[in-house]
Order: sequence, then structure tokens, then C-alpha cells
Amino acid sequence: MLLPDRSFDAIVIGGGHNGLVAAAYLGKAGRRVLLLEASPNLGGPLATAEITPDYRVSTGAHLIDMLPRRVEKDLKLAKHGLRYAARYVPTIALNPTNGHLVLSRRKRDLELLRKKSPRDADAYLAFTKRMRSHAALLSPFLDETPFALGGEGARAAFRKIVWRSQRLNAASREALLHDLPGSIGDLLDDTFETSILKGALALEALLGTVAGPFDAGTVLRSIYRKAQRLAGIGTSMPEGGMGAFIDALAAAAMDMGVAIRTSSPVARILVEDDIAVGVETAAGEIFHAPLVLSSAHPRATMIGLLGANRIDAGLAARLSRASTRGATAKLNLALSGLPTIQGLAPAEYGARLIVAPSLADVQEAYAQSKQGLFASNPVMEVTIPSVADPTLAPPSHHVMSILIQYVPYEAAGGWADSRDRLIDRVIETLSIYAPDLKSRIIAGELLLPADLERKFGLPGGDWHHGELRADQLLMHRPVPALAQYRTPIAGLYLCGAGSHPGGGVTGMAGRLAAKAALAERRRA
Amino acid sequence: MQRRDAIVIGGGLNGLTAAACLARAGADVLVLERNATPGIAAGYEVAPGFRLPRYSLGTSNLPARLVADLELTKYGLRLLRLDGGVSLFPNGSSHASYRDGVIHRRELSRFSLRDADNWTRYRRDMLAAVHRLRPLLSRVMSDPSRRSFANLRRLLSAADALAAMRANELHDMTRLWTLSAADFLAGYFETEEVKTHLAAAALAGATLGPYAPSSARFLLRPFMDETVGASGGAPATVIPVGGPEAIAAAFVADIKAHGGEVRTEAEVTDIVLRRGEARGVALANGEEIYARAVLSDLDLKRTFLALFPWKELPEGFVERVGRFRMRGITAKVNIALDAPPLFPGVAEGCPALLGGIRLANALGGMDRAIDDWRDRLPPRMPMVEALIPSLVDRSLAPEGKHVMSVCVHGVPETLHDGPWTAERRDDLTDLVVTRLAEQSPGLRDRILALETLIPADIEAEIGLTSGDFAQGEETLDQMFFNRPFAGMSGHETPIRNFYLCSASGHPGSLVAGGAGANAAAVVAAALGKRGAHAPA
Repeated sequence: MLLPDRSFDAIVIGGGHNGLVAAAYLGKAGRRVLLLEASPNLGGPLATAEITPDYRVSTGAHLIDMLPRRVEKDLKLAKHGLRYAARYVPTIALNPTNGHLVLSRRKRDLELLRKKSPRDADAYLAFTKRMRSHAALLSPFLDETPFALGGEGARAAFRKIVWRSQRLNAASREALLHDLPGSIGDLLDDTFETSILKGALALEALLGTVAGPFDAGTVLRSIYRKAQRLAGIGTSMPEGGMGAFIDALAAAAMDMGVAIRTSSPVARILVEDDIAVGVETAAGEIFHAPLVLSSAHPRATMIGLLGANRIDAGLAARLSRASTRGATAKLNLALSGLPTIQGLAPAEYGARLIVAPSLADVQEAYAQSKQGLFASNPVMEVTIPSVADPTLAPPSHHVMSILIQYVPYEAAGGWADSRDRLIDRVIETLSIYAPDLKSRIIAGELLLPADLERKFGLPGGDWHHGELRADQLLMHRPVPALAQYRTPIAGLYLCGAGSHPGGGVTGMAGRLAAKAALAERRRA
Repeated sequence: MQRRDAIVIGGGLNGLTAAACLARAGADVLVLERNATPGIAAGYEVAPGFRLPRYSLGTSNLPARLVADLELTKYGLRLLRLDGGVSLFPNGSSHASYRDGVIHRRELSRFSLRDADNWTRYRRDMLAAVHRLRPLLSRVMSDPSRRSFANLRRLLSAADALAAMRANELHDMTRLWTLSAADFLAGYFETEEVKTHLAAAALAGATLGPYAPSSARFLLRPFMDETVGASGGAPATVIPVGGPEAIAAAFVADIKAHGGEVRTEAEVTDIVLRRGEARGVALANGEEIYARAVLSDLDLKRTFLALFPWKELPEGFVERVGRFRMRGITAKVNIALDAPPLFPGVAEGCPALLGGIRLANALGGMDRAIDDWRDRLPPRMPMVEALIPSLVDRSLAPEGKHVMSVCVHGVPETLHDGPWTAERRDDLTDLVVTRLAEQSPGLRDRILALETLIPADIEAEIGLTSGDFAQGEETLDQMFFNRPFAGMSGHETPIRNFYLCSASGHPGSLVAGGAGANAAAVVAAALGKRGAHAPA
């Protein structure tokens, strides 16, 4: 006889945000759900942790911008404690010489750009409109389970895309066909002349990828991210850091009856006659459920937890070829006071600050990363979350959160000797803008791609559980045979960022996977 | 007033192909070539009695189907098809391509049995991809952004074709067209030498390094000529009997036999326009020749920026032409040798040597060379290809002596910090000779004469903007319906009766002569001729 507390309607593996969202939606639908998280804390890289006592900062991502309003509403996150310290956080491109640039379509902000280049100010409006129109075409696909290739639905689906494209006017269609296959660097070079603008827009498009600015596919990725943002709540900073967002998700899930167990790594998924029946933890505990959803990396799920012998060799080979690489590192600093950023108005310290003065800097950083070097002039996204959220640091003290783009997974000569040099390099570069930064640093913590892999189970240090590129998007994500969340094992589903629509703090993979699992159970 | 049916400006391979196709369709066609000999692989003497192609390595990409369709053999063309050459690595090892599948697998198994096994799968997949691609290449590209019933029908049938593909098939196709060569090859092969050899053979002259996304599709190139052209993943080397001019001579004979004419030393300086329509051309000597259709085999930029008064072009057009990316990447070094060069890294008598050698860096080095080129640095470790055609055709050099044709890839047209001075050219030449001598001891002492042509020289002599042999970078946003750009991919131009037949149009340099054949089909239809044949 099965013990009642060992038997559930559904088990969710992994307590990252996608796992929590999947569990919450299943709970909301009345299912009895158990969520198992390997580490003592939920959220994985989405956490608020102390750099040093009393200085807290978001471990990994530091902003929410793609979380769909709908997920926020469905799960009543506000009711469960989610507050924002800042909404609609502006983006400012820092200029090492004169005049920072606020990236925005607002007239007042555009005047700054107009002063540098009247042509670019007009081009910026046209460019953002154009990218938005491309993104709008894509966004409906992000809100639904991808259609299956080679199946009955494929013909109707492909035809639908053609019909949709007919609604565009000729100019938009021509623009789409021109832009889509190209590189963001070429597109920006063709469109703008102001180097600070080009650098910032390039970094915005490339943050979190391993591709370079002149690589094919980077416009596609940029449009994809833009489409994700269209459905999102707008760039926001949760009060209490990203950990607070996870706390709200966990509270929502528990409110919907989800049982959450941390420090419970799953060792394997239990299968009988190609049907999932439950999981066994590393401690040997066995839990039963007819539905198992895994938010772990698809390869970790299918080969690690399930076993390569349970799937056909072709699928295993395809999974092992799937590319999962990261080149984004994170540096968190505790500061004894607010550093003075030259030329930045007091109200602007809470902004998302981009350090990428030109396309050439972005390209150089990329070229160096391919050789296992970190950049001579690192390109970065910086926030000072404590400006909007004083709870993160002691009074008048601050924390700074820095995403460093193009940090190689493997350093030439090994990371052991290079960690401190990278930190120095980043601080030196930031000191160009904030000369007093160095004197204010109390403590710091660096997370390299390999650290992210080790700590949070992100293979290759890839935040997205698989690069966002044409062969791993939509009906190809993570591989065609698994693109509808279900697997060859009945009852086993993928619900992590490795599935459509991929990484970024959206929770959509969790939501769509839960939906797919529920639909199938009803049919069965 | 005498009026021709068609004038072709420029006697490059595409121009000659267009002319041959039009002549066959019954058009009265005139080719006007600026230089003394038509351009492709134009031969010259680097020293008295030492002949070799001045600008190109050899003629490895002349498709067998084109030769057959135009019956060039009837006009005296004889081609020797050789193996695809051998890559020599700094560590002294080598890897060769063979046309014979059994021998090639044996060559692979020297490195890895697994790679030898996977070769069959690789070759099959590449041939299948070429098979799928071929109809697209010999087709005149419609402009998918234009709204028309015919266009919609084409799009819907494309949608149906995609839907009919198996899921994994479509996934594999997406991977081939979007992945980097390095990632794609890693799905088949484990040995660095094997991957490097395949990448080097495919990416020579490309502006993408092996780590750049979408560089994998270049791996298709050696398989394009599937019947006879593929040689173990490298393009088979082709040597025309009778010297480099033999190919152009066969084309000229073919065109003449069908009533056409080829005039050399006839430089076109202007297009004769009446009410916005092309009516003919004006030559440098002041002569005007009229025609119902004018085709340009010059690249997009040279065509529109040099032959037209800009005010005659539609608004915004000059800017679009200006944005078309053309950047030269290849320099040519022509060498006369007083003795056969020795390559101790290759077994004596090994036939692979006849197909030429590649001094390949590892994948990382190849990639870095492209990054350097992008930054317009003088080359440090460029990829070097060398062919010794006199090993096969003894008439090219005096008895016991040889010519060596060398291409250096990764040479920027302009340098970031100043001009290509005589000193810097010498540095480049010296670097190339040094690299060759590392594999061929004593080479330096055997050199009788030597000449280096950087991209700027190539532009000056044969008019390729920036010395770009591809006549426009072949990145995905400049291919198919985007070549040269959306709205102009059908070889027609904003000027009535004026057509583009150069590789700046679809299918670019992917199929030699392809753009010429496709343009000829468009022009023949416009002239009401009985449909030109489109070889592919």
C-alpha cells in the first residue's frame, strides 16, 4: 500500500522559478503536487544572498522584465508578497567621455541623442518601431506550445505563418526578411552613427549569449528577446532582490497546496513500461505520481535522471549535440557608500547602466573570449539595487550588481590565477566612470560561468539551459522530439528553461508544460 | 542604327555564361571585356615561359553540368579533374582528400576509425542537403516581400514543403544553415586534423571563421558539383589542358558559334539612357553601341556607382548599393620555381599533392585570422593555399621548372593604421614564403620570380570592388532573395532593360556561372527568345 504522503498527483523536479510556476499551476488546477529541490534554497540563481553580512544582492539575474503580466496575475504574486522597489527601470548607456545616453523613445531623452546626432535620433525611433513590429509577429508563438514538426498540424501551422505575414505591409515584410538572417552589428552599423548607442544596443541584444555582434542569428535573438519583453511587466526590481520573487512564487505554490521539499535531490525518475510512475531521491526515498515534470536541464533529465537506455539512440545523440554554453559572469560588490558616477543625475543611479562604449569594444570582448581571455575592456550591465531598495544594505551603504558579458567558460591557463585579474579589470573599467568606486568596496563575490554550472546545475554556465539560436528555438527546443514538453515516457514532461520559450525570468516554460501535462491527463 | 539584342558588360565567368546562354536562345549578343583577355583565370607569365592564372588559384569551381550544358568540350575544352588537395599541419602531419571513396576512408582511418565510419554519414547528409538546395540555386529568386497571387502561392507551397519534412530532417537543415562549421563538424568527427581540413577546404576565401554561426553551410560548397566535383570534402581541383585561358577560349568559341561576339579591350564607361531606360552602352573610345537589353557582369557597386549618373537612380538606391557589403579577403602570390618544390610531409608520389596544398591552422587559428581581418590587421597566420599546376600540365613552365599559384586568405583591403606600403607588401610576401618553406625546405632558394597582388591590386586590374571575389559577402542577409537586396533578387534592376548577371546576384559564388545563367533566363524571356537554358 502506498503511504499517502508518498503519493501525489504530480511531482515537480527542481525549485527554480519554472519549477515553482509549473507546480503552482498544477496546484491551481486542483492537483496534489510535490516539488523537490536539490539544494537547501529555492530559486537557483534567482536568489538574494549576502555578499558579506548585512549586504544582500540578487545572486544571478538582477532584474525582471519578461515575466508575463498574466503569470503575475494568475498566481496572485502581489498577494503573496511580491513588491517592486522600482518599476520601468530606465536604461542608460554610460559614456566614458561626455554625455550619457538614456535609451528611450521619450522626447526628452531623445534630445540627448539628437545633440550627438540628429540623424540617429530619427533613426532610433524608426529602428525601435521596426524591431517592435518584428517582435509583435513572433510574440503569439511565445504564448503557446510549439507545434510538432513533421506532424499533421505542421502544414496548417506553417500556412498560418504565411497568412500572418500577409497582414504586414510590403515595407515591413521586406524589412523583416532583410533583418532576420543578419547580425546585430551589421544592422546597427547600417542604421546608426553614434558609437555609444551602437555599443549599448549591441550589448542589450547579446547579453547572456555566446555569440558575437557580427554573428548571424543575433538579430533573430534580439527580436526574440524583444518579443518576450512585449508580454512582460516592464523592467522591474523586486523589493528584497530576486529572492523575494522566488519567495512569492513559493508562497503562491504552497497556497495552492503544493508541498515543497528542499535538500532533496532526485536521483532518478521511476519508470514502468515506458510510463513515469514517480521519482527516487538521492536519500533513497520513493515518491509516486502519474505525472513527473522536470525543470532540470533537458539533458540532465533525459540522460541523467531517466537514463540514456530509456530513450532511443537518435534522441540521445541529438540531446548530447544540443549546445549549452554561457559567457556571462556576475560580480556582486558591497560598497561603503554610493560611488560617484560622473555626469549621472542623482535620480539616475537606480537605472540599468550599460557599459559598452562602442561596437568595437563588444566585438573585441567577444574575440578575446573565443581565445579563452577576458576582455581588456569588459562590456557590462550594472545596477545598484540598493538605490531603490534600501533594505539590501545598511543605511547609506550600497550593493552593486554587475553582469559581465563574454567571460569564457574556460580561461587560457585556467581560472585559478585569473579570477582576481578579471575582478581588477572590471573595477578598473568601472572606475573610468566612477573614480571613487575602488575606495568604497568592502567585499565582492564573482560567479564565473563554471561557478553557475557547479552551483545551479546550469551546464556550460548557460543561463538559458540551451542557447537561444535558430536550431534550438520554438519547435526545435530543446530538440524537435521534446518540443511539446512531453517525452517518449508517458507522464514525464520537461518544464524548465531548456524548453520553449527558453530562459529569462518568464516562468512560461513552467506554465506551458503544466498546461500540456494537464491537457494530456484529461484526455487519458 | 544597328541594335543588338543584348550586350554583356564584362567577360567574367558569369558574363560569358550569360552570353553563351543568350546566344543559344537565339539572341544577337555582344560581350565587352575591358582587358585583353576575358577575366576568369586569366593566364599570364610571372616570368618568361612560366604561365599560371593571375588572379585565381585554379579553376576548381567550374561545374561539370555547365561544361556539359554549354557543350564546352565541343569547343576544345578538356579538363583534368584531380583530387582535392592535402592539408599540411604545423606538427608535420597531413590529411588529404581523395575522389575515390575507399581511399578517402582509408585516409580518414589513419586518424580515427570512428571518423572514417562517420564519413559515410557526413557525405550522405551533405549530398542530400545539396540535392535539396539545387533547385533553389538555378531558380530566379522572386521577391517574397512583394504581394502577389503568384508570390503567395509560392510561399504556401514552400510552407507545405517544410511541413512535409520529417522533424529531424528540418532540424538538421536548420543546423546546417545556422551553426558554425566547428559545431557542425563536431557532430560528425572527433579528430582535429579532419575537422580542420574540411573547414579549411570549405572556408577558404569566406569572410566567416569556423566558429562563426552560419559558417557550416560553406561545408556544402565542395559537394555542389556532386557528380564529379566532390573529392573527400574538398572541391576537386580542375586544371584545363592548354593553360588557364583554355576555359575562356572555349566559351568564346561557343558564343561565336551561336552568332554572338566577344570584344576585348573594350571598356564600357557609361550606360546610354533614354527616358530612364537602358538603350546601350558608351565605350571609353567614345563609341556607342545599342541593344535591347544590357547585362552587367560587374559587381553591384561598380555597376551602379561607376556606370550610372547617380541622379538617374531612384531615391535611396545609391545608399542601398553603398550598404551592400563587399570586402576583399584574398591576396594572390604567383611564383616561378627553378626546380620542383619538395614537401617531405607528403609521401613521395602521393597523387593528393597534385590537387594542391593548404597550410591550415587549427580551427582556433583560422577563426582568429578572420577576426584579425575584420579588425583590418596585417595577417599574422593567414590560411595559405598553393597549387602547382605545372606538375600536371608540363607546358606551363620550362622543362624541370615549375609555377606555383598561391592564395592567401585573411588579407584586408585596407589596414587599420595606414596604407599598404611597399614594406608591408614585402612583409606579406615574406610571411607567405616563410610559411610555405616550413613545409617545403629549400623553397626560398628555388624562387626565380614572384609577384604579390593584394585586394587593391585585384580591384585595380579586374574591377572587383575591394577585391572581393565573391562580388558581395555571402552572409545569410546577402543571399537568396536578399542578394543583392530584397526587391532586386530577380536580376532585374530599377533601370528598365538593364540586368545584373554577376555574382552580386543570386546564387552568388555558390555556383560558378549560376548568376549568369539565371540572368540569361530572365533576359531571354524579356526579349521573347525561346527560353534560355539554366544550367546549375
